[in-house]
Amino acid sequence: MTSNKNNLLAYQFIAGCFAIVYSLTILLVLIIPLYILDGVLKGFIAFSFYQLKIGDTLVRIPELEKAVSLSIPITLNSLFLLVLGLNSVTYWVYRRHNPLLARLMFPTSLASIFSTTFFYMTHIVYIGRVVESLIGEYVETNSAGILILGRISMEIPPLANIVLSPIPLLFLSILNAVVATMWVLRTYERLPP
Amino acid sequence: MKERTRRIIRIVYLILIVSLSIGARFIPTPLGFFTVSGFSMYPTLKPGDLVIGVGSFISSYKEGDVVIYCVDVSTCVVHRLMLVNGTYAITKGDYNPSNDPPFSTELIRFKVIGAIPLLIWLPLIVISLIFVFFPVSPWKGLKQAFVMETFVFLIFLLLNLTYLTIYVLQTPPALTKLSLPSMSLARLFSEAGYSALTIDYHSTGLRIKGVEECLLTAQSLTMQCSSYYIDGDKVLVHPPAEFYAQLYVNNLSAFMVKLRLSLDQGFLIGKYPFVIDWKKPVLSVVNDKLVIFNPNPVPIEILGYKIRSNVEGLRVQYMGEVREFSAPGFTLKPFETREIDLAGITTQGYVEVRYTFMNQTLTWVGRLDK
Repeated sequence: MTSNKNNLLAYQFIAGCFAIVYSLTILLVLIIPLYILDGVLKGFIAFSFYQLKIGDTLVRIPELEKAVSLSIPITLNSLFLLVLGLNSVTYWVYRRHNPLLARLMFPTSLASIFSTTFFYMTHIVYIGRVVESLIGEYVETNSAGILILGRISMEIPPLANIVLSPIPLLFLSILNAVVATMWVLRTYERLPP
Repeated sequence: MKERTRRIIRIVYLILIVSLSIGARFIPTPLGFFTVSGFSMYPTLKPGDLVIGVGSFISSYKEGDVVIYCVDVSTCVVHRLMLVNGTYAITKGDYNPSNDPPFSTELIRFKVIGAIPLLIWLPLIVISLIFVFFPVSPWKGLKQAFVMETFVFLIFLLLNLTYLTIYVLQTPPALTKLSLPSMSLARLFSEAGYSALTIDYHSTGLRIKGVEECLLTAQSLTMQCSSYYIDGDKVLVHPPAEFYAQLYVNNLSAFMVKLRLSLDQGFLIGKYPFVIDWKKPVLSVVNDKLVIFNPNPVPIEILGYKIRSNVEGLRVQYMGEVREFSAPGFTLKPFETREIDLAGITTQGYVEVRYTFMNQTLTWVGRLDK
């Protein structure tokens, strides 16, 4: 009986740690600047927010606003997972097993695979395309002559280079879901019929 | 026995899903299922739509039909057929501005007969997967194994799909256009007899910092501006007197001001046309005075003037005695007015002024009434 309980506690701890690591990684990915723009337009673009300036004036880009809204599902998913993970670890500290946490973490982790996939899909459609259309030379010809405003250049920080690829995060979300599935299956095994 | 049946159902289901999703790419199947991945067929097909195609060997296609052609196993395109000409076909995406390159009709695999939106087919697939792999009875309540899990999972899935549908699939992303600072020409004018040329700009979000280059050009003639200064959105250019003199000598009236301005962000290079209206000197006899005004920014050479007066008056010009008075010429400075006193002439007569204008010698004759 004690061994079984210890077994479940170990699953609870591992699943909790995975959930915390995954959700914190996602939350970090949401806020780290992915693209740093310089030149006519200065600032940065992250998954969940952006700050771009022309001179001293803040610029609003509707497409980026849309992209920011698209990070809401994954943010909610990750926050819920973080709460579950923190709860699981806290229960583990007090040597108590909570089956409800296992039952909630399993679908949340599974949903996180979808959230991560959708998140990256929308990133490709929106943020990637916006950045692609922003960078370049800004030259305008009008009645005043040739107005050479300069160029907008883009730089991807090394850390962002890793997170821009969906593979590491998808792998992490799958791993998290596998651990959560194992925990919930073990929990069901031990539950009275 | 029950467990065995369930296992068979799962395997059959998996085979069905896999074969329906990718099978059509490898073998000529009567039905093919493809998902749309871009906006090229918007609004007919949106990204994520599940397209159902009937094999081209079953159903014939014609111009105007939406067809699926596969270049290779990994690249299949769903576009509208624009032209079929025996061996080759031309397609176009409804949202694309131009046609695709021609391709062999052999590559056409399916004719599209319908599409299911993402928001319908994906939840159906997911729910069916859940029910096949985690069989639950919805009538036994949340306490039953995996019912609550399914419920939570579907909430998150629905949240993702809703956002995806609302924000991504409704409208194709337009190319982002920044509202950048701009500068346009408001007006061009010359002040105080061409002594200053004003180039007035209308700027939004830009400020003129300095003038890097200021040139005056007319045909092969090029000169530096003598001075310039910035007054807000205006640039005032002072051309050297020599430039106007050269224009006058060369019978030129049109010229350009070429500016390179440094702005607080970037540069502006502009050529602004100006026309100088060369005018003949204004001559008049007013109150026993000959008044000569030079309306040009260059000196005018007055070659000389003559006064012819008759002792007996004009009516007997040819019978009476004619007196003639000649005076040497002088240079009339730019915009100078000179008055010549004619009070010494007591009878009626004529004033004849000879001057050069635009390389021509002209004569002006005025009447002197007494």
